Amino acid sequence: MMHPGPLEVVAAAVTALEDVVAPAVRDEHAESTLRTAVQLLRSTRVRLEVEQQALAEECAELRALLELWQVRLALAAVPAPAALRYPARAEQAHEAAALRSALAAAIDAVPDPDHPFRVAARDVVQRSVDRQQPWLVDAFTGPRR
Amino acid sequence: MASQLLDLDVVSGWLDSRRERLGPRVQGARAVRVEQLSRGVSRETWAVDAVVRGPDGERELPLAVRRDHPAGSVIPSDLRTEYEVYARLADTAVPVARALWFEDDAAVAPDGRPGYVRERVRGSWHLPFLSDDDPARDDRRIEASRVHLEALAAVHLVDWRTCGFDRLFPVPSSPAAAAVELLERVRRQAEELLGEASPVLAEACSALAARAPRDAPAVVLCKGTNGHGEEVWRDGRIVAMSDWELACLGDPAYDLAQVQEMVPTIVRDGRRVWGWPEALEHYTSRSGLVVTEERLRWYRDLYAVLQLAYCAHSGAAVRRLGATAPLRFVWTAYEVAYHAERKLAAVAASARSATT
Repeated sequence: MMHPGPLEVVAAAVTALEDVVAPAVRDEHAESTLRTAVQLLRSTRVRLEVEQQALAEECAELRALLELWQVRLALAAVPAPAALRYPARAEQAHEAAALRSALAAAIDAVPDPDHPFRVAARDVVQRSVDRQQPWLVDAFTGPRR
Repeated sequence: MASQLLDLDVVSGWLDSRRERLGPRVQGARAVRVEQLSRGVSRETWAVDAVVRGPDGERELPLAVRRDHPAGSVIPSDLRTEYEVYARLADTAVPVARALWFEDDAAVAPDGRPGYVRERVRGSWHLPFLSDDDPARDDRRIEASRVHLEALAAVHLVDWRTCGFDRLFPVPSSPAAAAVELLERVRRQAEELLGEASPVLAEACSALAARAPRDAPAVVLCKGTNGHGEEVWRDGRIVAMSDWELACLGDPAYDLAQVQEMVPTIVRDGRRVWGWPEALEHYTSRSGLVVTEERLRWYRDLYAVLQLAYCAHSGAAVRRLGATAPLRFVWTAYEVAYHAERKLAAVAASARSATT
């Protein structure tokens, strides 16, 4: 049940598509689509490996920032955390989306871009973007579409 | 299920039923080859080689069929608008393929889906010498750059009111307001399509609004995506400008900021012989319109918002369709959207460096 795990399964699928299926494809459009599919599978493999940790870090940062400024800036209530101790990926993503929405509203409510809250918000936003780089940039190593 | 566009009998029947659109003396038409092109992924593009029959015999007529994917389009502009751009440019100095008709009769359209037909102009999008840094290629690279800038100037000199583009696109309230109104419109569109609020979008739009240019010289017809890969070239000339999906009315800097690869920086013996300053000067000499490098930078930054909006449009289709969403839509909403977000983060960061 535990092995092969999802990472090995996706990696094997990528290898099969590249080594067995791709050489047999003759249609240009199909070939291009196949290359895109393989790239997305590569990305998914890395995402499976690291996304939950990234989401947990992002939620913690967003929550800390919003809680720190909530009273002083009279911001809306900070969205509640996921109820489970080990939330599923979907629950974590839902929590992150709620926190991001709260942050976007807070940014619009504080128009001075030099306000310490806005400066801190940009740092959080930048780190959130950087965290996704492993599966959205580094994983795309094969031939392009 | 295979598209009916792959069935030569279906396509022949369709073309023949519309033969009066293929030319004034056309008495019959048939398709001899159909191929789906892999370039131009925002919509389906099909190359159709037709043969039409007239009083003087038969002749070949290369056609292109454009239609949305079954899932819609990647770009949040509608197919009919794209067709209308071609139709409205028919009698202007802008080189475009002749638009023949918009097919919205499900009874005759292949797969029952709307699409439009235009002539396919002979030529190539590919200019392999552009990336060749051999000094022997300098003159050719610079000449191609000039030709492209002149084509953009021709677009910008179109009398858009006479051609009816004011009925197709939002009209900025003034040249000075063009930038900020476009920013507001695209931000609203992106937010509606994203399905969740985006802090990086909020920060970037705040930075862009703070430095939105107000010195546009005029409101002009803008093409949007342009440059290498977007126009058809033959014998050193542009014979057709393609891909009008991001067309709008606005500051000419919007277009200059979207030029792809057509303004190479060429330095010889420590002296720049071609680059953006020379390109802008040449553009102004042909259009009479001044585009500053500052406006160019702003519109390049704005492009990240435009990009996020069209990625969000794809993402909305993926949410709607689930497992049946086309892979191109998934890829756009995934990898391309991330690159847009990275650019937005850089735009947001520039606000801080500009104030500290």
